[in-house]
Amino acid sequence: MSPKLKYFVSILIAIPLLLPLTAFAGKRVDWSTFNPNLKGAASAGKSTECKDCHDDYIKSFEDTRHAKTYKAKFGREGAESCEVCHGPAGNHLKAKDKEKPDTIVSFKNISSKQKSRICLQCHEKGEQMHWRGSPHEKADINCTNCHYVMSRKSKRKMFVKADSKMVCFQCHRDKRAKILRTSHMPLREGKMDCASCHNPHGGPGPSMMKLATVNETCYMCHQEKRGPVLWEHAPVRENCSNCHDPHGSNFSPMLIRKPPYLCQECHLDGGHVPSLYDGSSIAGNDEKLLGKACLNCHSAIHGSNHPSGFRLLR
Amino acid sequence: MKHTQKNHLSGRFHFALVPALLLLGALASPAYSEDKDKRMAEEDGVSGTFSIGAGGVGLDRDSFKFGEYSGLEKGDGIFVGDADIAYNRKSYYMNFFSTNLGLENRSIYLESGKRGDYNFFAGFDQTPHLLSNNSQTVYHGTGTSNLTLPSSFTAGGQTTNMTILERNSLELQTERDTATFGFFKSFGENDFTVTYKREDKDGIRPLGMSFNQRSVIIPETLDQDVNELSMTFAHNGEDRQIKFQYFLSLFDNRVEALKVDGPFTGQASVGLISRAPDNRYHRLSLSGGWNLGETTRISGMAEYGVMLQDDNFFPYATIAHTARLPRNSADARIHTTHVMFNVDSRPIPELSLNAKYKHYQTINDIQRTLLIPVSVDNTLRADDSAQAHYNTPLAYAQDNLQLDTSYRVFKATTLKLGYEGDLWNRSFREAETTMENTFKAGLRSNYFSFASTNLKFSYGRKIQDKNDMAQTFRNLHSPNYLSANPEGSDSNPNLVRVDVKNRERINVGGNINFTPIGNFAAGVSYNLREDDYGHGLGVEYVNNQNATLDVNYTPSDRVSYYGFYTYGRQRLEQAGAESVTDATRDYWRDENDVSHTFGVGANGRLLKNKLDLSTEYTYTQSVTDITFTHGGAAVAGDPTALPDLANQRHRFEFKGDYKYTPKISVGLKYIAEVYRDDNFATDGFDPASNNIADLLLLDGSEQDYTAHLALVFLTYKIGN
Repeated sequence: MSPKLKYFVSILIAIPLLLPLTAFAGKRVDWSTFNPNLKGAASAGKSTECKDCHDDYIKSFEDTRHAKTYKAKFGREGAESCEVCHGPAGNHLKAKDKEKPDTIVSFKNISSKQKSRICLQCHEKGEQMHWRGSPHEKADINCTNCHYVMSRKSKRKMFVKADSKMVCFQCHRDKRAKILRTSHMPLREGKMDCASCHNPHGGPGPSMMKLATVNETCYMCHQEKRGPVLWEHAPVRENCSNCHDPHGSNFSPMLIRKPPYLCQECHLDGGHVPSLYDGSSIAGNDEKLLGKACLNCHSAIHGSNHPSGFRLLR
Repeated sequence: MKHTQKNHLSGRFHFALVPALLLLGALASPAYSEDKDKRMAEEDGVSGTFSIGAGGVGLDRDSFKFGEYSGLEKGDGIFVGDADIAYNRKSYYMNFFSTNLGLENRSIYLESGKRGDYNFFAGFDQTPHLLSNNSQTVYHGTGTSNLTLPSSFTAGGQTTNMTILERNSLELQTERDTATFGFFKSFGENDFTVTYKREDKDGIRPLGMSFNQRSVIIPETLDQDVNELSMTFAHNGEDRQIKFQYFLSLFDNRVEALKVDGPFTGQASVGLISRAPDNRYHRLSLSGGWNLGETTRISGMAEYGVMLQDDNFFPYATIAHTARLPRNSADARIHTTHVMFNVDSRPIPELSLNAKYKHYQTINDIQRTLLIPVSVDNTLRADDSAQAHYNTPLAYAQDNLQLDTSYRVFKATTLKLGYEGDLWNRSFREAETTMENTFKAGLRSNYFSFASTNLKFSYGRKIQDKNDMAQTFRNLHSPNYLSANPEGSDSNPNLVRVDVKNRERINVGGNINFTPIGNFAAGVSYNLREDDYGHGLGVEYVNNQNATLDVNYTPSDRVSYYGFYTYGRQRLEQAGAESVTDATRDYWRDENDVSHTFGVGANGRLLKNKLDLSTEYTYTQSVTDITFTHGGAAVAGDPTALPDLANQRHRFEFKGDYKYTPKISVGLKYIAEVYRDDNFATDGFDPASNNIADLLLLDGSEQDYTAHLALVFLTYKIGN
């Protein structure tokens, strides 16, 4: 390892050993910026009055694992539990019926960023750490577009729909069509979901990939492609999506175009490589077009560790 | 060389896993008799649902495609076993999920612990991948690393000269079995998570094996395992958060190479093909975020990783020549560093500013050596031959800067502007540097309560510093060879590889969602990406576009209808090898790929909420049309078009669930599918036949099917 890298790694290891000693000051939401009527509003404490009007909501909420965890972790009960997301309810409880909607924070009349801000009180950590500034946040998406906390609609993660893919397809409609194509990953069979590769809360990679690059994300499941090996294939090392469309394709295995034409986008010089493979090649039973085309021979296309593997044949 | 028959470790693994999961849950959840916490008392007990039932599959022919990722084949019976069960006792809990227990793609997950304090979790997941079930091979030894030809087989210069008296049928199928175990513990604002994952991949899949301009598709034995460990320590303050993670991944391939008898005369009698070598990967990751008041947040990430691989080299061929190897292993090592920094600020409520910088770099430490191969196992090459090559330790660095701003110009309407600069530096490539500048603009509006609009546009231009194909040629060859051959294959100066080619890119997109009345919604979206590479050898133009129409109608809170249609099109224009002085290679290729996806469905809750019904029909059709025209110099005879590549699938699904009692419901599920596929590369060519003179195929072409699947199941609700 080079001295520069040693230095870099040492810093990486040292920083977290120092930081847990730091005491961080808490900072909660300023509810008056959400609703000016809440300025100076008092907490309703452990009052159970919220149930008088919102019993069905509260009952279904309390049945969720989210509510149970919250209750166990923080021990809040009654109105003080509702107040974590809806602001202090003191004024709301005192107000006349007509004035009640204006004396609480309702998710129906706050901005997208304010909705997320409420959730980030507890969830600005882990996978949500990079939410602010993420492509979804910049597109005015908020937590409630994908999650619903007041009752259980999905087995896990409190999605607004039972199938997490359908949550993403609310906006990414072209991807809904792509996973129905003939060559696809097992998303429609339920073995993967969009979050298998993407962190919708702001992953570090392109298109919010979970890891820093497309390839590092692919290596989570395709570790055998990681190598490194003696003979590397440059576009393979740089970006798997140079050749594959992971959302689905008409060309197995999820290739963006059919070989040999995919290969000919880069290889158009020397030997048999630039030849025309047209309809006459089928009549001539040309093995460079039929079967696996180029991969009939160059099957080590992802790289070879064989000393005779320069042409990716071995 | 290590090898095994199809690995049965995973089978043993299954038997051991279920009791292990239950034991884990039992260990984690009891021991709360001393806890006097009464807050959770009213929710104590078991709740959830479990379903059991049976069904079957009917297929009109022996196609693998219907059960590609479920493992279902013609005539298979199905046992239904799904569960979603929770056990709560005060603050302690246990959650258990299982899906598709009766299928080969089953999964189970168990989590148990004390809420907000600690938990154990464990899961098991199985994913089959059927590849073909009408394959035939001339070889013996399928499932091992040594494929031999039977004594009845007579080799030939081409398949037409072979005598094939014995063909062995086999199914091509792979499977992943993944087990995960972990533990989470919270210490106030800090928490710690450790996760271990073990994955076994095994099966048989097709692999191309070259015998010098001849090829045979062989059944490759897959027997790999992966062990991964992840440890995370996080501090989660309200204003400042930090996460430190160590990740280890160990990949072990038990089939490091395949030894294959050569079926072609005049070529090597035995070939050796290497498979992915064992590798190791370590990654240290540090990420954090800091809120500077309500308006500004800075966050970042720093990572270091190293990929390692030092498997012993194989000899140059099955025949000796080990003495000519320059060293024993590649001793390959790639370091990766990643730094990301993000600042997000809202100085006034109407204005958002964001800046993000990312640096990612690979450092390839592999030693550069001249390797003098034995081509396709039988031709020993000289030091100064065209086939003697230096390996090239490819590496790159990416620097990416994004600047974005949005401003709320009036009520619920936001204007967005942005810039992205993407700089790549590469080693051992024809273009050392590419720089892409992209300018972005967008508009989002919810001005009208019944409609929302989002429009976006971007223009980007990528420019390479040079295109020195001769340099890449010089990087590969020995000085002796270069002195006699200053130019050669793949050194055409007019050739620019598409991933580093100069490019102008236009992205246009938008969607309008419209809710004219409360129970009806419609949405239209459109995306266009146009890449113009300019005139020259190779890809010149690519156009991707898709348009979708969505409608939803909900006449009551018990009934809803929906429909969607997506049109997708990809068009590509490519110049053939027009600059090569060979008229037969002077051509243009046009590719037009059109897809239609259509779906309608309905959901209903009837009979006083006792009966749930849902039904859906989807249709997908894709057609790829590839045509050729001759270039400036006429080819020897005009090129002929290829038959269309096409596939289509109809799918109808119906599901009903009747609540017989508050605790018990009876369910029915029926699926009908029709799939048709046309692929000129495989249709009409038989496996292990002499259909193609220089290629022995393995997998049959049959994919089409008409399938019916029916399930009947009982669901029992536990708890209230």
